[in-house]
Amino acid sequence: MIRLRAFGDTAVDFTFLIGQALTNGLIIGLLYLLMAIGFTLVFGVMRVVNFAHGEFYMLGAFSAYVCVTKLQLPFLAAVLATFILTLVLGWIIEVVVMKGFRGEELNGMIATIGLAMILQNGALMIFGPDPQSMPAVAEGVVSLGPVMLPMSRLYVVAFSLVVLVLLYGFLMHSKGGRALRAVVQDIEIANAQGIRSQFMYPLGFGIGVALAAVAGALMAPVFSVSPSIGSTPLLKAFIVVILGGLGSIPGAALAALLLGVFESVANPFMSSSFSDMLLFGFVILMLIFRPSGLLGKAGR
Amino acid sequence: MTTLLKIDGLSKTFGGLAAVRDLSFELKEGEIVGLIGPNGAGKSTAFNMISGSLTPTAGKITFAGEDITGRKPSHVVKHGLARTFQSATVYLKSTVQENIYRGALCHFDIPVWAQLAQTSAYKAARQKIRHEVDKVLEITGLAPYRHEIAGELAYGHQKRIGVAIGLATNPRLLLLDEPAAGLNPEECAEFGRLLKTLRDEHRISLLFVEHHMALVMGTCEKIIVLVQGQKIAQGTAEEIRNSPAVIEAYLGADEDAHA
Amino acid sequence: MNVSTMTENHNKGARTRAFDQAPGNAWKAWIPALLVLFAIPLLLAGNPFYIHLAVLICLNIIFVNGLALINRTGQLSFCHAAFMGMGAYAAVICTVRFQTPFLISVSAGVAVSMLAAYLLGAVILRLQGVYFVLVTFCFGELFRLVMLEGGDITGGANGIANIPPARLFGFTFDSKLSFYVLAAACAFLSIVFLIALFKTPKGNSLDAVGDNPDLAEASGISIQGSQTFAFVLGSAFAGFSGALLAHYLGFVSPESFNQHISVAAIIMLVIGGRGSVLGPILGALIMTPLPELFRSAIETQNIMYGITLILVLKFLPMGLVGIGAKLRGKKGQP
Ligand SMILES: Nc1ncnc2c1ncn2[C@@H]1O[C@H](COP(=O)(O)OP(=O)(O)OP(=O)(O)O)[C@@H](O)[C@H]1O
Ligand SMILES: [Mg+2]
Repeated sequence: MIRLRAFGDTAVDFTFLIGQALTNGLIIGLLYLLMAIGFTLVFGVMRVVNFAHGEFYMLGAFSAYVCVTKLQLPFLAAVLATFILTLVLGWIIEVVVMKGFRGEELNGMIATIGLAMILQNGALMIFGPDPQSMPAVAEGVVSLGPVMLPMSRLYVVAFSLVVLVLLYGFLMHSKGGRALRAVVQDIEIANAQGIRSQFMYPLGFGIGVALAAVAGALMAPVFSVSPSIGSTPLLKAFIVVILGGLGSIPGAALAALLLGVFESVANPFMSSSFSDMLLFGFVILMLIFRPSGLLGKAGR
Repeated sequence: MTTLLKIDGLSKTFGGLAAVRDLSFELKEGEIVGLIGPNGAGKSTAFNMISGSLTPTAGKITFAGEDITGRKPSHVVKHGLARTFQSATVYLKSTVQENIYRGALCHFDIPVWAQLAQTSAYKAARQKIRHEVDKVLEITGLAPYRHEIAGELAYGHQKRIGVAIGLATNPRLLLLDEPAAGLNPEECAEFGRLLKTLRDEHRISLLFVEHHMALVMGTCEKIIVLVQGQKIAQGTAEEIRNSPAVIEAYLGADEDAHA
Repeated sequence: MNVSTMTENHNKGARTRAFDQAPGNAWKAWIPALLVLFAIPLLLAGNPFYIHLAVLICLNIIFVNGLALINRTGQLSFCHAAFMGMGAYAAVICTVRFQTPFLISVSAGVAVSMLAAYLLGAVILRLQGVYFVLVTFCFGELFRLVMLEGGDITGGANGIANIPPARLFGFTFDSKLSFYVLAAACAFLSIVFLIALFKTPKGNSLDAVGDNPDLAEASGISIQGSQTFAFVLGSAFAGFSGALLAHYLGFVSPESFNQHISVAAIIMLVIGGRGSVLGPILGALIMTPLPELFRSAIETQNIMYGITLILVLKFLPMGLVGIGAKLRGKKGQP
């Protein structure tokens, strides 16, 4: 079962391998985190599991691709444009489509399946099924001790951190953000406190899906872009929020980073479908025995 | 009179909050007992533990000589301890008689294959259930509404359907959580009579939570007062009315009590 | 006054089904209608493509019937295709490896699905709503991966091919038409079974759990017991349809039972209508042929699917079956 796939050289330094894997894991973990926080926001506000979340990741990737290759915008501007566009799109979708399903767990969830079909096939019609590639944001490699980091990935890390810090600032210190958190925690109490939840639904949904889109935009220069790229991040977001406890942002943060690291460390030793198998098995056990998540209280 | 329900040191904590603390009392066969206390005193929590929908943090519940602590509601109700819910809880989309019929299925234990094969044992059992449903419809005065959709009826009627479903399970003890809340005075008086009928003619013991003091004082032989999860007094209506502890902790503080 | 008496009388007729069921009245209309419906494809016997579609519709009816049964107790399973796959793989492995007769293989497939559903249900049916959805979604993914990594036993990504056709009592169902007769008979029986089940007190108690689980539990109908019953039986339907499908197509692979299939079943159920026996039939009947008929414009068609799904959820939460009910001005299900 144990075989090293990453490097042919058997004399590879073990600590180097782990160091590299940890770093890669943290990078991927940050992206999972963006996905998962967006997902958690949507779930927290609407009580709806958003099956279209991955499609917003895909839209974000295409948006960045179009901005950079067709409109010749700089990458930073492309990410910003993606955020704003998807925020508006999410807002509109919430008002037009999801409004009737607020708080309706099952019907709302099925509606997002319909939404996912529309978005994915819309992208297929516009962009075609073939993967597109986008120029890297930066060239060169940085070495941190023995660990090598391509500049392009470092960019991803930097951008994700900036987004996370901005998000943190918004949620913790702005009026809208605090209202949003109150709604996520308990909608009835929030209503009682006079928070206008009518306004919070589209805001929460919009920011949630825009975060997924930003994750997609950041990954666009690293991976290829195609209409089908949304399904893996969606699955990962599911895993992260289950492990973190549905609705818990700190839990999601911990779970996202752990997941990223687990995948990167497992990567040289086992096939990805085998590590996925372990993961799903673990997630199922987790849901059964600790549905409130890694950081939550035990039991239901 | 034998002891039907015995509660021993019952406690429940939610996170850090002690909703019920060391509650003990007894209920004898044929008694009507009232459980009162201000909002958030832990009355519903106590009910939920007794009926099995919450597992107690500590304590023991004995019903008809059997330890039912931690048993599931569907198990407890089969032993003759039924409960109603604080909010009107009915099958909204079904008719009144179908609501009651579902309650009456409690003791229906013909296997599925026999139901599908329509064996004679099954037909007999079904006949028996129909009679029970008719009986409950009569007792609760719901017979005129039997074909109405429960969700389309007034709140007061829905609460009565809730009681009817509980009755259909053929209980020895019925737990009622604020059965009169939302009823007008006339309905309320009628409800008091229904409770007495249940006990006198159908030998059902009753334990109920109620904010409506006139109803409690008028129907209960024994009243238990719960404040912040703790029992502060127990006795007849007269004793409760004159208990300094109750007056201080409850009657004086909470306006509900004067209603 | 007049109006209210009218509705009252109407309700009497429509709503007393489970209670006063004189076994007969509804059946008499249903059964012949179904028989006519299932006979229509026989008239199209000249066109193998139509017969192929008809077979798929029948298998989907069985499949979605299983999902509907589970859903009536209030749970939405996102791993229904996994149980279909289990039935299919188990049956195929029996047929191909051990050369067991068709009937034994299918029984083995159904038994495996039921056993797996029982074991899984025992641990996951404590979860409700979204948590149940997520855990079943993960289980469906896990099943696909296990089949993928199953080595020689499952044939990995290539699956298992060259499955011999179904054989029953010396007759080989090797033509599309003959298999249609088999599939139609099975679909018909599955429908009749559900009609009969939901006329019994057991069926009524399943509905009670779906309508209001806490009330059902408090009045003696065990949630866990009812949901386990429905989950095991519903998964048996899935396994059965999978075993039939495998012997019809002659081929199984992990991707035949992935999450898209589970989601497709949910879509059929929702569009057809939850909470009635007619819903899954209607859903399978309408939704199965569409992808096959519009092969050239898959994207447009999928977008239409998505839009339809949302519109149905919004305006016909009871599904297409609800149209009839709406027209007749009542709120229930047939
Ligand atoms: N599931 C729960 N989780 C956390 N806290 C709870 C839960 N259920 C009840 N509580 C808390 O326990 C306390 C007692 O609640 P309970 O519903 O038993 O009161 P009550 O006496 O029935 O009040 P009321 O008259 O308003 O019905 C309250 O402070 C309530 O907030
Ligand atoms: Mg209460």
